[in-house]
Amino acid sequence: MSTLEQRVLEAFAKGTVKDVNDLTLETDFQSIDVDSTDLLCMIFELEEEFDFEIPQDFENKTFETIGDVAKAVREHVEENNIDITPKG
Amino acid sequence: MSRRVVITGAGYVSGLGVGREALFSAMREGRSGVRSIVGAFDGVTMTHAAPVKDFTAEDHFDPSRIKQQLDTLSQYAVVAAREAVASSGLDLTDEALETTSVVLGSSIGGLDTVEQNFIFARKRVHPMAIPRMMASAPASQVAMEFGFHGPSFATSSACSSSAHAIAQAVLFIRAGLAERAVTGGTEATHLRSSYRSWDALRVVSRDACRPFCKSRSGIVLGEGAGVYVLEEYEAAKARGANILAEIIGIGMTSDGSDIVAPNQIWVAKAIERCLKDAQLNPQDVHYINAHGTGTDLNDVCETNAIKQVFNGQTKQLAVSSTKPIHGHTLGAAAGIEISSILLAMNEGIIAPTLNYNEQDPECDLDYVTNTPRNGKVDVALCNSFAFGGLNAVLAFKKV
Repeated sequence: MSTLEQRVLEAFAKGTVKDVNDLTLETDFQSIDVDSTDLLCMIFELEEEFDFEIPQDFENKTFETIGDVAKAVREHVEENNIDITPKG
Repeated sequence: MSRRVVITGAGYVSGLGVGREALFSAMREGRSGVRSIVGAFDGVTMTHAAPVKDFTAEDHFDPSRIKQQLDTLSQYAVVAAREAVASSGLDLTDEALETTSVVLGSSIGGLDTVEQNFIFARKRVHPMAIPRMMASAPASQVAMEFGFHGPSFATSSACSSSAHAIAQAVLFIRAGLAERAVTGGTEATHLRSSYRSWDALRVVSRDACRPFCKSRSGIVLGEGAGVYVLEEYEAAKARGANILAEIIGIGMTSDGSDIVAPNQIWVAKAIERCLKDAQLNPQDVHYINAHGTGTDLNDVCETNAIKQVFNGQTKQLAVSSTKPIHGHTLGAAAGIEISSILLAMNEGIIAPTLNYNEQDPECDLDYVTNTPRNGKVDVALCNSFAFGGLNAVLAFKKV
């Protein structure tokens, strides 16, 4: 089974329409021109992937790398005790 | 005297394919892009349509722009606008960008996006659903594509949307509010929800679109975009532009009476106002690209309205509806159909009304039927009469 971090990477790639093979957790947003639309689409894909609702203030957090996003997702899952086992 | 407005560029996406030549060759040959759609979607009973042909979005756009920003109708609009601007030979200087308007018509807006997010819904709505589906998205996308900064927006008046868009663009240039405009219309109809909605209205033919013909049984849907570059005449002439035609008149009315049935009085009045604006007499007009939907009501109403305005002076007048060639493209209708006027003026070929097989005593104008006709066309009208009684007629002159 994919790790949470791998699933975040894939959701990020889907949202920003980039090749996941070009991305790592260390990839920083500036180097790949991530804009506000990309962030919105990334949040949508994260919700789709993990089947949870991301709070409205999520995009106000400061993310510099995809790893930062993965860390925030992990915190959100653990704080709220969310089951993120893939369905189906 | 008011500033003159000319067409210096044209671009198309249609059921005949991508680009001007795909459409013009079909008009020239009297060839139809209508084909079977049986089995394309569940629950659709109509059998024929003219969906856009040979169009792959990825050939034209970056995948992220498609996914995040471009509903199908915006894709058609931008591809047609690229061809229109390129063929105009315009030099897109900073000054040109600042004074170019974008006015694009659409009847429905981004139905593809609505369908994906709401009608056949998944659990979550995509965050870019609104920017993709808003009716003004094609105008914004075309303005973004080139960096235009003139007055820009969408018009929506059902099947007259693109005629109203072009009329508005002409008015901008006449008034000096813009020096040039990228204008026309776009529509995406090859969708389950669109086909089912038109099925429900019971106006779609089960076999073929046969405008002005006794055996006519309704419309056949099409889709695509028709986009033009309009310029002020003196500026176009000074830069040596290839002028395709001049737009010399606009006539607009609303029936104010019924949401679907046409009203001969106000259809006629729109034609009359157009002739007056263009300072034309009926006998000056050589060709009308009719709205000619192939419905019982429209074709009789339109014929009678033309006869009323022309008052017996129809000897020189040829009429055709090109909808059997490209289908009824709704908000893109005038945008696509003006191609027949450019063809007639520049090549002397009048595109025919296909599928005509039986004369209707109530429709008795000189229709060009089944095969193209050679003829000299110096002055022509393009009729658009929309559901809800929103009428727009444009007059063109060879330069």
